[in-house]
Amino acid sequence: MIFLWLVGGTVLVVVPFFLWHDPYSLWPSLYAGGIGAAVYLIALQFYFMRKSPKTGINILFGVVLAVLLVTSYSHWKTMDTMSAWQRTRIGLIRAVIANGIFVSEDVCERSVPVFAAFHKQQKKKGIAPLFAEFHAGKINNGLFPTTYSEYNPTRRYVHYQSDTAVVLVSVDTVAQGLQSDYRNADGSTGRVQVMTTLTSREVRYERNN
Amino acid sequence: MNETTETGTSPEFSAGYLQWIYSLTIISLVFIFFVQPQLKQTMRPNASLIAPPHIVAAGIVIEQGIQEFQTGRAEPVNSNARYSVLASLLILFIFAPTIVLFIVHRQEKEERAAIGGIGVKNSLSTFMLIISLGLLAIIVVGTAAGTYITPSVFDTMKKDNDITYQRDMLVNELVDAYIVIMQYYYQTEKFGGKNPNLFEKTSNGAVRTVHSLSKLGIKEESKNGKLYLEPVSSDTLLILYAVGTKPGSGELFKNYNSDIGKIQFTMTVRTAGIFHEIQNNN
Repeated sequence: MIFLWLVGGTVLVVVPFFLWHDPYSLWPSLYAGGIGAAVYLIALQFYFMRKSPKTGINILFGVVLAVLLVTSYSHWKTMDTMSAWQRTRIGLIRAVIANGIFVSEDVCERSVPVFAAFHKQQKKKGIAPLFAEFHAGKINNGLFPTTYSEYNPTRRYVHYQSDTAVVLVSVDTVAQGLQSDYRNADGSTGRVQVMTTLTSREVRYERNN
Repeated sequence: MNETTETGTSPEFSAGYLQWIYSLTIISLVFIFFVQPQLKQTMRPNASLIAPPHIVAAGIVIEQGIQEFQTGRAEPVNSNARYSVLASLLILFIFAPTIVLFIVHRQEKEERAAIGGIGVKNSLSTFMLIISLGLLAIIVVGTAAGTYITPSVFDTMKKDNDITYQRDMLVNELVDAYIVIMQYYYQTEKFGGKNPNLFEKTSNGAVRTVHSLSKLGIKEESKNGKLYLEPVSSDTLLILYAVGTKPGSGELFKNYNSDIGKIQFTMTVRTAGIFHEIQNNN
């Protein structure tokens, strides 16, 4: 008899476990299998209650079963929410790092010194030629070096708008931005992108995504 | 010796007691030398048959977050983890409770019928009962304790994260302020004449800032905290303070704005660059 029950329980767990299969998550399978297990345990409890209705074991197991089912649902739900929250936070940390690197490099290291030089110069050279002169040798085919480090692959575009403005567009190829369907400058979608505009009047940066 | 007629109160070193010891020893040895090495060979080092399935499922989600952090995309769940979760679900929620219930009910029935014994069969069932009770205890106690503890752990994580996030945002706001200040510092009135210099010299030769942060277009207050510009002592140095709304580790720390115990950053701005440090971390 125990063998039949074990086979029945296994079927009740395994079938929904694989029916609700999600290649990227275990939670749908786990919830489905858990419901199968709950149905099985309740059926098992009723079986023994009918077989020997007055034993203390039945009462004890009934209490244990109730505690197990209620706490399992509650705890699984909390763990599901908590792990999803942690995953989102990890992504957010990555986006904050990307944003910080772009501001530090594009604005503080690449634009502000050119802005300062522009306002100090005796000759009246336009800000775009001055920028090109400042970063001569570092820009290849309209791109700054693409990689900050092996863990932070980026695309760093430089656009000159006549002599009066330089636009730097930086895309992090890993970090997810705010909008998942945003079209990035490098053709990818949904990644962090920051745009820095350098003119004679200002250094402005904005986070596109 | 008849196995079925010997009772559980046998003296030490009786045949029944020795059988019980032998069977336990054999089962343990089989598990240690045959079952366990097989499991280790077929499963990942961190896979486990009796790890609560929800712990494995949550771990996979966090692992995918780390993969996204490194490469920008998450890998599908590998089959080892999937089968590990299925196995632990079956062992903890199907096999253990079923074995416990059947054995306990059978022993109860045998006690009522006044039959029993400590033969190999009963030793095996006692061993199975102990193992199954242990597994059942793991899942019941573990889940109940988790239900009680995890929400408070989650709350603590959220609070810590809020503090960390505010720290990051305050640094961003300080850097934003620095960028604006640099523009005012370098930009002369020749360019449009609308942006006056940042500093001026008073009649006695002292230096002072012309504008407050708000007049430079810098937001002095946000949901993360407040920014302050310290009166200058030189025209090559500025000190900015950012005081958050969240608590720092020093409860009695006196903040720049006379608050007590809040996160605080100081940013020193020079023409050569910036230096910032946190003064009341958490």
